[in-house]
Amino acid sequence: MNKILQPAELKDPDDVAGLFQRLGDRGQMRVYREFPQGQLQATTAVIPAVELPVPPPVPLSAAVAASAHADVIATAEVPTKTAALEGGSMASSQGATPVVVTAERKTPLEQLFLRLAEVRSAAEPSPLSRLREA
Amino acid sequence: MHSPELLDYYRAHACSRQWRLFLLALAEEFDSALPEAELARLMARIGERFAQAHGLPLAATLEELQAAANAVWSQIDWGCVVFEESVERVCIHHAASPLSAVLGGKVGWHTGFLEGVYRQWFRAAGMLPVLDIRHTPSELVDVSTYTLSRVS
Repeated sequence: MNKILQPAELKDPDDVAGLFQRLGDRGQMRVYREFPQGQLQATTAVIPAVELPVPPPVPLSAAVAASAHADVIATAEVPTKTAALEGGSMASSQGATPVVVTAERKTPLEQLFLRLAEVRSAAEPSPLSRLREA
Repeated sequence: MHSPELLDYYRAHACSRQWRLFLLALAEEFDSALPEAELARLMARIGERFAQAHGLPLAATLEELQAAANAVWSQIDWGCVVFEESVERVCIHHAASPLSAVLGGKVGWHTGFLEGVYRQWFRAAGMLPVLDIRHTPSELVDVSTYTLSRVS
């Protein structure tokens, strides 16, 4: 479900997606590639209701849009009508793969470096919390 | 013969006689000319240069990296190293370097050389930018210890 978070609603200091939304230009979301492309395209396509094949009543259209959106999330790699309507401005939804490389693909030595990099002292605030305080 | 005497004998022969007196004179001049922190930084840069000139082969595990490092040290008779992995860090214990044999206990900045060597070797092996290697003081004169951990 897509929800535009307000600053007051960002309770999780590590809510990276919410932080980027707060920073403003939602077009920059495509630079932050935490989510598969199919999910991003479905997220931005919810606004123009006329482009969705749904009945006029608002509550029903919202429910159908949410349902269609949920289907896209569940099958992120399946091409959707919203992808076509976007005019290919985003990367193709076919075969969308996460950018984040999983630790399983790395050597034991690289996994060691990743594990050590994740160690943080208890007294040290998270980088995101420091950014929000700035 | 007691252990301290054995160690003294070892230290007296661990560094070539050709270089021992030279190193002592060099260290004395360095000490009089530069602060210890600057000397350590200089030694680290020298160590990084050494590591670049004697790069290690690709290693998939910490054990492989340790073996590769010891292959280099064995070729030039510069002691040996053990990498000790724990949850939050990797401890690097380098024993029996000729530099420690000559300067250990007299100066502290000489440890910068091996710090620079291991920093460069681990960077080349894929050490992430938030990680670094720092010398860890210890009471053992003949063993230089370093810690690989997160620093930022």
